[in-house]
Amino acid sequence: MAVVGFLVHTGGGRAQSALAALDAMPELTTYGIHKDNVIVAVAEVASVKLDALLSVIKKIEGVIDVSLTSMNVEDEDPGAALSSEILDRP
Amino acid sequence: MATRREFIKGSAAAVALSVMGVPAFGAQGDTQADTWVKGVCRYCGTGCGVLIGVRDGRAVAIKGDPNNHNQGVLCQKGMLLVPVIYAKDRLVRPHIRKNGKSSPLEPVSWEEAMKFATDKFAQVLKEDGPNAVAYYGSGQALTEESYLANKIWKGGFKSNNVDGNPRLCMASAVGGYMSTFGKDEPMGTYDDLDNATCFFIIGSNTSEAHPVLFQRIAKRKQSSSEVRVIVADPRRTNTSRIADMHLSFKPGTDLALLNGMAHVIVRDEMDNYRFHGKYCTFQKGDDAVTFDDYKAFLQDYTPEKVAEITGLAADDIVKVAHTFAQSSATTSLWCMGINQRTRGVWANNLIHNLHLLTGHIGRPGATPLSLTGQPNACGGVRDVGALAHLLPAGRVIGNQQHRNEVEDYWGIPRGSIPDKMGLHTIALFEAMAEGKVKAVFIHCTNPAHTLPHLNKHTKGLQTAFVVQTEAFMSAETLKYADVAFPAAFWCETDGVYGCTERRYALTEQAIKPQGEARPCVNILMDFAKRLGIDEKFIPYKNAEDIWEEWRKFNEKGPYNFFGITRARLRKESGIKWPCPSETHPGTNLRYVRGKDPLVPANHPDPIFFYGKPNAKATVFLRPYAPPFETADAEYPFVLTTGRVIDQWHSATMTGTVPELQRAYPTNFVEINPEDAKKLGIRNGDKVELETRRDKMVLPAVVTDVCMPGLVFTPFFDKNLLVNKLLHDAVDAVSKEPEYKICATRVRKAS
Repeated sequence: MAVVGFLVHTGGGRAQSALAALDAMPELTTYGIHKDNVIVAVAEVASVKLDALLSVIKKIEGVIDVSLTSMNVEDEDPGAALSSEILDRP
Repeated sequence: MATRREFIKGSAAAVALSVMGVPAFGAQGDTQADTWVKGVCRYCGTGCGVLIGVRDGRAVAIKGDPNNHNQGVLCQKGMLLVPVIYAKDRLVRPHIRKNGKSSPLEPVSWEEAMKFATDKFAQVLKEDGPNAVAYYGSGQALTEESYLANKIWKGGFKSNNVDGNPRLCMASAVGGYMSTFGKDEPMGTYDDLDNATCFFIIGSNTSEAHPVLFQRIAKRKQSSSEVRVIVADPRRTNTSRIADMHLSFKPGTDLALLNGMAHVIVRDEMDNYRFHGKYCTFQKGDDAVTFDDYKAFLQDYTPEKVAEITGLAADDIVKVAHTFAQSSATTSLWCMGINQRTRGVWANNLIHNLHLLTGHIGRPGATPLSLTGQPNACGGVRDVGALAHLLPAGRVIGNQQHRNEVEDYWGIPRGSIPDKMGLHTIALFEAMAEGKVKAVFIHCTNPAHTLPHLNKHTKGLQTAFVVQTEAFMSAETLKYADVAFPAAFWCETDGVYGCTERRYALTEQAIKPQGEARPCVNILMDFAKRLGIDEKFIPYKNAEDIWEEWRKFNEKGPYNFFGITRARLRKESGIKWPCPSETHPGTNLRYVRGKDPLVPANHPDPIFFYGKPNAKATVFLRPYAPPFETADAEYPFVLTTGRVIDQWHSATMTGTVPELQRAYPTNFVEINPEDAKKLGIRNGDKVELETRRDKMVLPAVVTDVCMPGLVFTPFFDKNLLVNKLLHDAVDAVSKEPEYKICATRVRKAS
């Protein structure tokens, strides 16, 4: 399971509602709304699911963009994550 | 007591909070790893700083470097770099093909592989001479590697056949800067993105190709209602979502658009006569002309005429010209859409023209800033001169004084470096196919995937003896390699990258190389010495020794890196040249008195274009010229290629990361809904593209990103090598191929 730190940029006065939506996601822990309506958050997610998680976050109303700041994969085996779907792709 | 996992979560939060300027949790940011090692992202030319977390000798974490220009932020690709190190398809042993191209690559010892490679090179050098060997390098190679290879080939083997993949991406930008300003590399930096009030983005999908810079532009746009963003691109890419104006011009007509903007600016007296009257000359070909001649030339580019050529509305051309000229500070950004063209240098010149006409140059936020595709095309190849016509630090092969300066510095007899330019990339691969170049050393690049007109140019790889340094078994070029040397990857070795904004930054070694992989500097040194290159000519113990020689190369010249010592690079998160002394902080604004250390403090003018003998930049009269291939009755669509956000180049790295691979598993073809309807194509259908070179079937994505008549495909997928479809016509000056435009048929495949 990877631990990923990131910033969620919000606009349109929707920082609070975006924060509530993020707080409802079980993979996430949030750390408040900061300057320029940026929300600090940390996700615990299998790294193979990170892209999907970010897609969901970007669709939350008021979310403009997501900036990644750190990622820890120390208890994952990245090499083992190379799935057969890649090796066998058409 | 907190668990380790809670510590890691706290650390991740602390890092993110620190990017926001919020101190939190004391020093917990350090608990994710035993040590954090400073480096540069391995992917695009943005050159984001990273910190690599190491625990028990293994890279386990990554975070953005808060002290580098990216201010702690990374894109998804960069954030997922650590797993790439441990990918299962890492090449970790030397391999050779013992019985010719049809025999398998077999693992052997380093000794056997090196002997096999150097025996063949020695034979070719002896029997066919130095022009029969070549080096094909990369904008991803470290500066020390490119400098060393350039020295070995040009000064050691006496072969100028040194070229590389920057020929395929940046050569036109080099030609543009050199011809307009007399010196390569941008005068501005990323700091300009924070000060611009108008962004003119043309031929760049910044959002997907340079996402961290795009976020910075978006942030700037959010910060002020005054900021305008213009995106000029035949495709309506993700970049245009922040645009106030999106100009979807017909592919290949950008020269007309740029001249049309110049026409409006001059016609409506929005040009800055005080600037261009003082600092510019006007030139048609090699002939000096007057401003009035230029005005007469622009009469062919009225908004109405340009509208006919480009398919844009005349009013939009006027509006964009006014916005460009009237802003308080305009920054232009461009990339492969401008460079990869048979008139790429001209297109670069025309962008510079707009800045010189309006005076949007040499002030914070006002600059023409060419974006770079690879992490070290600027530093590693352009600056060290690792191309067939170049020598280090802005010198050229064709200039005897330049050759002599380099020979003197390298301590070899004058006349050692041949006076004839080597072969540029396309000519090199043609010469390999013809048997004129018999042995090539390919370093850190994948030409069997990335060259245009692949069916033609892989013949060169099939014919010549190919030695390749490579980190990943999936590289298509390995199919043609006679020798494969396993290369240390990224933070498994140390070296310097130089990014778009003239910033040199060091990646320090964080971990040991995987398996038997070795740093490429060591591979090149061993290779050269076995071929008889004198140890005194390459007396280096490590990459640092090479850097020390390189930084002192041009102590008194305009390409000045003298103050960028290894010790500073270890301490600082990059330094922007010119940097003439160890106490100089680096340069944000070139050619500006008081900002650029190469402009004398007592210079009478605030701007000094010292690259030109007359100290004036050149406004070129460059007419519109169509691309090499246009759509016609036989091939009625235009095909263009490019990047997607989650894959990079030939995907040897990103293809090993499941989350990136899952986002974009294969190449596809984007087609406009109108065209799709006419052809009976729906989302996901198989579509055949057929050009004059080849045909290929790809899945369809029906979208209005492409305008009618245009189709787009990315090129990352080795199972669908779309570059087989492309022609290999090159720019007359830069010799860069026109990847961006070719004519194609489109039909639903059965």
